[in-house]
Amino acid sequence: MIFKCKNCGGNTVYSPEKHGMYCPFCDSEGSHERTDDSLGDLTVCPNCGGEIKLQEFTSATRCPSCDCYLILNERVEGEYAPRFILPFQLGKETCKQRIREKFKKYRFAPTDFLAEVRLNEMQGVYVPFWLYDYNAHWDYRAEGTKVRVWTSGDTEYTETSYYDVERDMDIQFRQMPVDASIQMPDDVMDLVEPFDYEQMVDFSPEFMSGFYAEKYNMEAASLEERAKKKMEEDARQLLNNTCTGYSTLRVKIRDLSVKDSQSDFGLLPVWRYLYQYGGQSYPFYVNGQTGKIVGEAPLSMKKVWAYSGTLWACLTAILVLLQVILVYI
Amino acid sequence: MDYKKEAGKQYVKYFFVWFIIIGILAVTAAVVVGMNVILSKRSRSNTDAPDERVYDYAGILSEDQKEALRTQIARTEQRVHLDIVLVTLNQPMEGDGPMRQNDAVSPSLEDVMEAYADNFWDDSGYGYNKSFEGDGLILVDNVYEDQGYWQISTSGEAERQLSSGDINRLLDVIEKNYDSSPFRAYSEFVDAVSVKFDSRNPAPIPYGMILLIPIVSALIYAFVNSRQKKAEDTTTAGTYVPGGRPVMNSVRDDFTHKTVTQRHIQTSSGGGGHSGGGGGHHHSRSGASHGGGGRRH
Repeated sequence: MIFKCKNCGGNTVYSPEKHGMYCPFCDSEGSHERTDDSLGDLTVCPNCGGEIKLQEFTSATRCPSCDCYLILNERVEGEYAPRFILPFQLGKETCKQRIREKFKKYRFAPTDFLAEVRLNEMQGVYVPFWLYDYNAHWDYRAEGTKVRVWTSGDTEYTETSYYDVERDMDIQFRQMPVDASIQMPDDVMDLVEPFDYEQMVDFSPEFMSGFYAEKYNMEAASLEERAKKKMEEDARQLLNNTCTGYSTLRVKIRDLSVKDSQSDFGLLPVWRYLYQYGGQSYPFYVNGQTGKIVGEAPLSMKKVWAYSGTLWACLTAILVLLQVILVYI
Repeated sequence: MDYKKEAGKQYVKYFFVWFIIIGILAVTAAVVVGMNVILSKRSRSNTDAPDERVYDYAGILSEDQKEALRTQIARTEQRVHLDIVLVTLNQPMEGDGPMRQNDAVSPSLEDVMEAYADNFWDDSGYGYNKSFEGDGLILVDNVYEDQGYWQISTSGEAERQLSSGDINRLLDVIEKNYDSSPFRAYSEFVDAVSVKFDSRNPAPIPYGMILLIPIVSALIYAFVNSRQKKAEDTTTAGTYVPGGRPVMNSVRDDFTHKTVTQRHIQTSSGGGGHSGGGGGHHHSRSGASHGGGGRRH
């Protein structure tokens, strides 16, 4: 499917700044209409007939010939229909600004790292996530001790108080995200979190126009283990938060059970900037809602030597000159 | 965009303040050194003393050696702002005669030599800044038979700054080199005085620090600025829990019992001490204050 402007026929896109559909050709807002031309064998653009190369999981892309954003009906409908989508809240310009602010004090990055022409290559991607709900329950019993030490004269006293500690609690985890994309690194996607689900809405393909997207690469069941691991870590931390103030805890019962669980498929917004330097690729990911940046800038060894060497030379010159002044003053 | 030009601009902008500081320090250093050179040439204020610094009454130095010592002393005096005088003797300096002749406090070789050195200094009017208790020192070397003796007498700034330990170290320098040649011993003595009084020794900032501080700073700078973290983990355990907290069905913290143990604390005491030292001074027949010391050959 393609969203076109009723006024000029141009390709309308979702604008994070305007929070709605927008035609970049005639500046119309809300003038979009959906056209459902089939992509046929998925190799030809229905708008211009140009060749397109689709990857296995791509559900939205841009035609390299006419720059028209295409959404693949069969990959966003039926079993692949997302239940939720969190529309991009930050536009490309805002993300570029965020990246510049974060790395402007990083002296050793290559000079063109923050250049406009490079940052313009940034792409907005809707990443497929499985969102898991768990109703967990803790049954915890332990013997806790609190130790008090004081001295009187030349004698040191140690008082150990013993307690029966019991915690019975329910924890509801809601929409714990686990990315269902092979090409997105798991550790990076975990760091891009959290997303604020207040702005999440029921899925509508309009939000995808202007961006890239994937259908889920794997079923919810195959990611269940990763989701459970995240949930159990959080549950343990929440339990520990309620057992503070003890010097030691000797566990008697520590039972975490999951009463019921469910999963939903959703699309979450991420800006991706791929910077090439020294034959290597340096990916940067920006949370399309909060602007949180994940990525490490490349190191220009020429700059490391130039800046560190100059600092060394400056300090040496200053100390030598101070020495001369102090000797002769 | 020309990235090389842009990188150059960023570099100059970054180090601009450093370059300015270095420029200011370089100008200041040039002015200070220049002033110092001009002032050091004019600062000798005692015009009463003779120009001669080497009196070889014993005749143990060649003309070339005397000239070399005169040049060395002149150069050193300009740097350390002290008069340095060398006297060699070959005459009896022990007994009643020499004692009376020099107004010494006793006929001993030590006292007569001390009196001779003090009087020679005072009577000649030596002293870098003035002729009475002026800054400087004199070495008198007597080579007479079994009365060989080196006497160093100090005055003014030299008296104030040279401890008995320093005098001993100067005598050590003379003694160590004397057997190879008296000339060498005198020359080393003048060098030792130069090292002791030259304001460049010891250096206000140790040379090791001048080497070490910039290297360590540059390494720390490179390390700190190369370090990066992909991102902080900003999720918490309660991020995906409505309200951020679990529902507590039951919370119990029931005290059951307590135990108390006790331990005797071992105490110890210690003490400290201090040591100190000092030196003595004396007055010559003219009433001037002198310091110094001597040693038999």
